[in-house]
Amino acid sequence: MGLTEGNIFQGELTMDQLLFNRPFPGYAQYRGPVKGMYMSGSGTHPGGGVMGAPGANSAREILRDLNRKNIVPEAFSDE
Amino acid sequence: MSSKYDVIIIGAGHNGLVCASYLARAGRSVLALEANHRVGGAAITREFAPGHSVSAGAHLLYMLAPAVVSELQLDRHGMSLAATGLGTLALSADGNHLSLDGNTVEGGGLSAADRAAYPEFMDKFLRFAGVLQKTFMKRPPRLAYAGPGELAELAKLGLNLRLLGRDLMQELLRTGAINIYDVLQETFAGDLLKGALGLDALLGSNLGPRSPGSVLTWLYRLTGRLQGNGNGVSLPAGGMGAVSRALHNVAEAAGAEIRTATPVKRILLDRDRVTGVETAAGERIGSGLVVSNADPKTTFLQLVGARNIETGFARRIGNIRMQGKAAKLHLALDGLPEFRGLTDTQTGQRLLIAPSLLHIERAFDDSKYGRFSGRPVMEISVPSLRDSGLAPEGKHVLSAVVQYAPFTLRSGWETGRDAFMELLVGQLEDYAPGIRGQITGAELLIPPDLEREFNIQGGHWHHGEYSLDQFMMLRPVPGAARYATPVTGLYLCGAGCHPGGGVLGLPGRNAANEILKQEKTL
Repeated sequence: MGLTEGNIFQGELTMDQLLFNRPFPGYAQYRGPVKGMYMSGSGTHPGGGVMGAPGANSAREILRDLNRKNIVPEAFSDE
Repeated sequence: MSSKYDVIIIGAGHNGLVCASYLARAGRSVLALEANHRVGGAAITREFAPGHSVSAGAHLLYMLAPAVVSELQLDRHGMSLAATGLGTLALSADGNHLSLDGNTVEGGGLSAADRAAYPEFMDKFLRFAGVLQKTFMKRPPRLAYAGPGELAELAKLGLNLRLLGRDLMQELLRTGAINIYDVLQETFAGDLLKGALGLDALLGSNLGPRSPGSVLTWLYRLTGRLQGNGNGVSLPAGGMGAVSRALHNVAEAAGAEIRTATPVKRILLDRDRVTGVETAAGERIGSGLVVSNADPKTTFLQLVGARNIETGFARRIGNIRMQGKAAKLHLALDGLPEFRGLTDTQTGQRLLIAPSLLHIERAFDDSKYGRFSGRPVMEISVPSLRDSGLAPEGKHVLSAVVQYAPFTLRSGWETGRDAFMELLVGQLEDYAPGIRGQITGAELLIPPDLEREFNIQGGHWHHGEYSLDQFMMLRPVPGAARYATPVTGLYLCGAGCHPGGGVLGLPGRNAANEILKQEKTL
């Protein structure tokens, strides 16, 4: 499946690899070290599991960088 | 009830004596009651074999707060140092030892890359330790209700973090809560170096290299480098008991009364207010202010009594993790032990047996399952080399912190004690051939001994594990982290409070400040 080292969360969910440290410090806001490159997998905040949140969060950041309207909901809605 | 005092202090350990000194100097009439026959708690010097004395608990001085030393003028009251700036030697069985001194490291077959990385690595972690150390002289900020003053305290903590600069702050936030194994693996290749730094992070704790929070314990230890008056790791002349005696002199000179061999049986209450204490002999002594130098479990569950405090609070106290896993080995020796590859001068430094992180982890693993370590780790000192008063001429004493010894040994300590002692001597023999034949007296203090002898439940030298869930505003538990407790008139001043254990003196100093401050608002 292309999971490096076989970790299903694309990186252990530990204090040093969560929140502002996910996947690693300085690049926790979905933008990669190369301009135009984004990350949207389980390796990014909030993490792994069949959740979709990393993808939604990263789409929002990309739309913002493209000056496009944010159509990604900011919160989950169960209503 | 008999005579009245402004304050009664339960326990004349070093923090109790520090607290007594400050309060007496502020004009309060102070009575300190110590269960043992001498003051000092776990900071004492004791003759364990005829003519041979050793610091029975803490054996190296490296954290004592400069403010306590200078404000109480300990040097004028009898404290002097027999040796300062001791270096560390990480022993290798083949005699190719690694020498660590300040921010330089030599020998031990260390690679050039490791040697080059070391100063930068130490510098970085010393800066992190500085953020922690800046909180030491004050009560911890309160999280629950934050008035403007408290918000400012929290903001200051945040500011100190931010002042590290972006990269270092990121690095502290990344490493602060993880384990020393991962951090050392990222930076170094040399096993002896990683073993030595790892052991420093773990001494006195119930943690292995891979246990969460072992970077925090290391930072705590590193604060000693920033605190130590520039003296580094020191040996007090006359052993650690001499530091306690100096504190005793300060307290008495300030007018405090100190009674030894007077265990307190319970703290007397009128509903939720303190009215005094009752000694084991049945004497009742009145006072509206009682300060406990005892650990939090002894204080609340024994002396106050669980039934006299709110259930949720009692449960929190009961849940404090404070099982000690460090033992103390004392040997009386017929001559100077000959460690392979060490000069006599080097033998007087701080010696470590912790050849690799894996070695430490396996030693810890044994203890998790109720066994003592099959291949233990040790921090060794031969203080008689620098302090001749500790042993007769030509003789020596060896003192070692030994890990890991579980509080409850599955096979029972009645038989386990001798077996562990035998194993420890065997291990020393690997590094100092012939030492077995030099032994004329020996003593092994396991955690149950430390509990009994020093009245510390669990025998943990910090009065409670130093960990993220038990530090700062969570130490010993929320609701008692600012020295005052839910029992009106009862304060804590021991190692179980912020900033924590070690011969530091700041819990005692901070508690005294807090008491004087609270009095003004009463």
